[in-house]
Amino acid sequence: MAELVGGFLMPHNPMLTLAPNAPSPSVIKTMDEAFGTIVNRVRELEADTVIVIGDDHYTNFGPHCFPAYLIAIGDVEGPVEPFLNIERAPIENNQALANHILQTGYAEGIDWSYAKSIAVDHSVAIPHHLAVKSIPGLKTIPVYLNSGIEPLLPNRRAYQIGESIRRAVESWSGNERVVIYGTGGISHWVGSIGMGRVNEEFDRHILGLFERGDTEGFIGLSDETVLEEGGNGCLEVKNWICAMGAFPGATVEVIAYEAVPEWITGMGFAEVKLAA
Amino acid sequence: MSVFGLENALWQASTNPKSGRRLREEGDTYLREFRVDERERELLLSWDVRALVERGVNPMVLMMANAAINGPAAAASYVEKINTPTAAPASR
Repeated sequence: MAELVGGFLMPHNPMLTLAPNAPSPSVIKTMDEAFGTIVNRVRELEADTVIVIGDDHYTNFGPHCFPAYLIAIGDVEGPVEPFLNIERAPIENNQALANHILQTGYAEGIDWSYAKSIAVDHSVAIPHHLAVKSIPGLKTIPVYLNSGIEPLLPNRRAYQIGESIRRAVESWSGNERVVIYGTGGISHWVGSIGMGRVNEEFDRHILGLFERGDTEGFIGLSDETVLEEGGNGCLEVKNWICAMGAFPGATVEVIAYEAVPEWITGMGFAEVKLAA
Repeated sequence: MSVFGLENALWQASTNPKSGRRLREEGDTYLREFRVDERERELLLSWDVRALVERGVNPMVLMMANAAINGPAAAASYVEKINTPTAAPASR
């Protein structure tokens, strides 16, 4: 039977490839080492499939349609943004498992939208570039939550989607070893008033909630508080919450954190520590 | 006030090169095809990004369209413009 073997939280900041040398050498080293730690752990876990939870940035989706949550069940390529300095290329999906996650959701009231063909934006492409591509055979299932464009996906729903993903993986007849990446955040203001600000204190507050495994604490973060203290980009904590839904009772261990004004973002990395 | 109309105009312009070219070269005519009022047209044609965000326009689509239509230099000045308070905050 398939198994969820690990989870990680990480940024998907496009500046990582758009302006890789903007921060100080020590910060760049920390970032490189953090992604390296994740890659090494995924290798150790012998994972063959990663579910990358990201969010659209008014790129793939527009006023005509915003899916509350979507899974890519077919052809995947990316990135869609040419400015990322990443060559657009096919990304290998695990279509069978993605379809099973969708069908499992349907059976229990998680009404997924789905994409039969999608060119992913940086929220999936950056994690894929920095924490998937170098691992041979690791397939990628993209999941998109509406974490950025009001009306927003509620945190509790994000968590429930993660719970459903867990049930789907555990009921899958294949023998996949699956890891989940919750991506984005932490504080950053994307085009909004305050852009350029990084709120390290709030970032550490959020990391603390996840470190303690304070499920009701992170689900209870109000969108208003997150917007005020962490900016609209910090709403991507919903992606982290979704990932945590797949690991009930889990805590996280912080791999690295840096407030990086050159990248206008608080950059947080963590590994999910599975409950005993 | 039509946030939906503004966001639609911006999104079309940033994802469809033909629409982008029209916003850049014949903005007034282009914007008249959307449910955007006179004041909103003025704000968008002058790229008053602060006032537009204060009126409720999604900042991500605004920033993306600004870069697509006005180029890298405008993208660099966006941060300064978005963080400069307007004389009198616009009502929503």
